[in-house]
Amino acid sequence: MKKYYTIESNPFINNNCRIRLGAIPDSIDRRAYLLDEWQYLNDKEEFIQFERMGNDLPDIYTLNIPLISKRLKETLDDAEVSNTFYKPIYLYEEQNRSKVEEYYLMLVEALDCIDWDKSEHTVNSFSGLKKITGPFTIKTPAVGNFKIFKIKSIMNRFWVIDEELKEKFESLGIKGAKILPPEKYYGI
Amino acid sequence: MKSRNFYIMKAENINNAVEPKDITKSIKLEYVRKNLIQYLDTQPVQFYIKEKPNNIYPDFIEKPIPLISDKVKEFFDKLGIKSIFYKPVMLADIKRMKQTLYWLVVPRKIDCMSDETLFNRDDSVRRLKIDSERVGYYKVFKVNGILEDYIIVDESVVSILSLSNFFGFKFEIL
Repeated sequence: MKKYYTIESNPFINNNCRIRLGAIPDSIDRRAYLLDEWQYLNDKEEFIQFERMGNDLPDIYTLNIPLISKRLKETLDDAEVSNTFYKPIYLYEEQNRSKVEEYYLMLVEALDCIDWDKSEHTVNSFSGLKKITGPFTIKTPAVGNFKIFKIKSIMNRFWVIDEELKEKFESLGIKGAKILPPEKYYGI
Repeated sequence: MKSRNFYIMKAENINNAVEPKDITKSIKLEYVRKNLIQYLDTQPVQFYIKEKPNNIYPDFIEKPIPLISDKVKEFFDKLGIKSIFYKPVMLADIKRMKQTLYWLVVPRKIDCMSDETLFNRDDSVRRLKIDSERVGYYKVFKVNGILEDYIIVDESVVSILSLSNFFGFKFEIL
């Protein structure tokens, strides 16, 4: 049976790679990453100001916008991941605008693959969206060949990766990520 | 975003057009029609073609699954179209010892149907209307909420495909 893991920002694991993003430009339509309506995003580069809270930079940022580092994207390309969309994002600091850090806004195909009877979750009474709050169960046949995916119609910001990607990310020395098996997941 | 014209991309009827054999035995029609791309992969796959006195290779084969020629794929890449899942498909003519590269195309499905769309009693579409604001940047896509598995293209794609040397397409305006 295939194993899967959640992956999301956790700047406190390597307390050194926390960042704070500035305003997200209007050209980045939130519907693309909040509602999985990818058609509202083009692949033109965009610039976002950021502030370093430590000495290092994270490979993954999923707090208010889904970003991955250049080297993480290269790892996904090497793994022949094809169910993603990337928009180049250059992060710059106020005091040094000429130096940019190369990131990508990543959209990942979403799947309806959760056994909700076996998953800890809450339902938002206003939007009807679910939020996974603890251990959960993935219906693995619904995942097919995907190595990375999102879970459809949930409020959580994590992606799910397979064992192969987890090993590739870990051998890369991924920074700023919280990787958990679904049975040990805890929501924030 | 300004209003755009959209078209259903269909294949022209061409005598002696190449026909792959048994393609839906290995690529399930359901996965293509319902966009279940998690069950597809990007590995090349080869199919033999039906024997005909003179096989013609159009740039678009609509049935049983939508295939575009390599030339059209290059054209889509040049246009920066990223809304399509591709799988390489080799059509092999054993008699002539020839292989021709095509690409299975599965454009993303989006919620872009206009309220003006009309349906028949059997839920098939009588008149499809697209809400161009909800199409965003997409130039090639499929429509959520209809039974038909239409590939929709915008006018910029149609004009270039029509002006270029491609053949085997016909476009039905919506």
